[in-house]
Amino acid sequence: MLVGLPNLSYAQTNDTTTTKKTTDLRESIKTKRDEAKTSLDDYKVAREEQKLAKLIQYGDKAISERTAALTEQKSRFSAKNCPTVALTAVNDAFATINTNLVAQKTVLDASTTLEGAKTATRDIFQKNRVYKYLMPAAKGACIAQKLISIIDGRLAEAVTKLKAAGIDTVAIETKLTEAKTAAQSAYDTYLQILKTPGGDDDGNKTKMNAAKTSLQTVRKTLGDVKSDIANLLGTYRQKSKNPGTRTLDEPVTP
Amino acid sequence: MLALAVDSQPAIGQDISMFPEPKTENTGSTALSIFIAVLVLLVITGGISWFYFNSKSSTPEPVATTPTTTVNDPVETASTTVSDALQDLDAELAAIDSDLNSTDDDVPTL
Repeated sequence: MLVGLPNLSYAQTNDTTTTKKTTDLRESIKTKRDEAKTSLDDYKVAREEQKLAKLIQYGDKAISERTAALTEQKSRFSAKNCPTVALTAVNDAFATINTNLVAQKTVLDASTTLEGAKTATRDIFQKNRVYKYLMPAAKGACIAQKLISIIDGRLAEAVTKLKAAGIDTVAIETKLTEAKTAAQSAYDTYLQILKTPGGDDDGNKTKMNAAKTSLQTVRKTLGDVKSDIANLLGTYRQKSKNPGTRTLDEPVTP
Repeated sequence: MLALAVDSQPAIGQDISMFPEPKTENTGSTALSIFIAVLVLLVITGGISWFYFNSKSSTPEPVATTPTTTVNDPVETASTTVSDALQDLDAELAAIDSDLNSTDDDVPTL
């Protein structure tokens, strides 16, 4: 039976799942986050002569918290939910950010003026958009590549079987090509963001929106493909009873 | 009486049988039994044949079922795969939106 859950159910489930995933990540590094927050509060109330030391201390805590977030998020990607080609790109991007954070800690710790420490601390956030761009770009790259794998794998296999049964699959093949092109476009865009997740907020925001639009195209096209598959199955069953030439465009009587 | 007694004696050279000839009525009874047995055998064989061919004719033709199974399986699998993929995609799109609205990358007031 080709029965899927209603979209409304998907949305409700996904909202809950998304909230849980986001919460879990932050919960898992709660200690680090609390330490950074306490350190920031200490800096704000510190006497002037202690400000530099307290700010460096806070910056180090912020780096520690972001490193922990990266480690936690990275552990959630595997070959199961992220095809190898995307997983390699994601791991490389995470490694680059880690290296950047280590370098920035060196700069921060070497600061001799309050203004210098402030600049170094701002760089920790502005040059390393861990939460805002790196993590969503990694998720987007993985899902885009996963969709490409499905299109090239099981869906292509199904089309081959249908063709062998003498069923016209031109319409469904056109849609699969369209979906794959959109998924590839989304993947390429997410890769660009993964390479430079910081320092270009406007550019990355535009890219994130473009990639999202591409994934929505994939969403719609694959939804159509799903309907076509149901239609093809009906066509095939009818054809088995009453042999004759049929195409996807012909309505199938239930 | 004497003459009758003499006549009742077997003549010289005539065989004297110690065992009586089988009665002709027994032969007819055996034939009837065989006939009935053959009849019963035919009825049983016919019944078995009828059930055999009748049940065989009601079984769907393998030619019709084989391609249905072959094609339906990958198509239904593909349909399930698409459903799962769309569900994953919806979840990831929602997660991505949630990340984009994160304030964790905002620089605090220093």
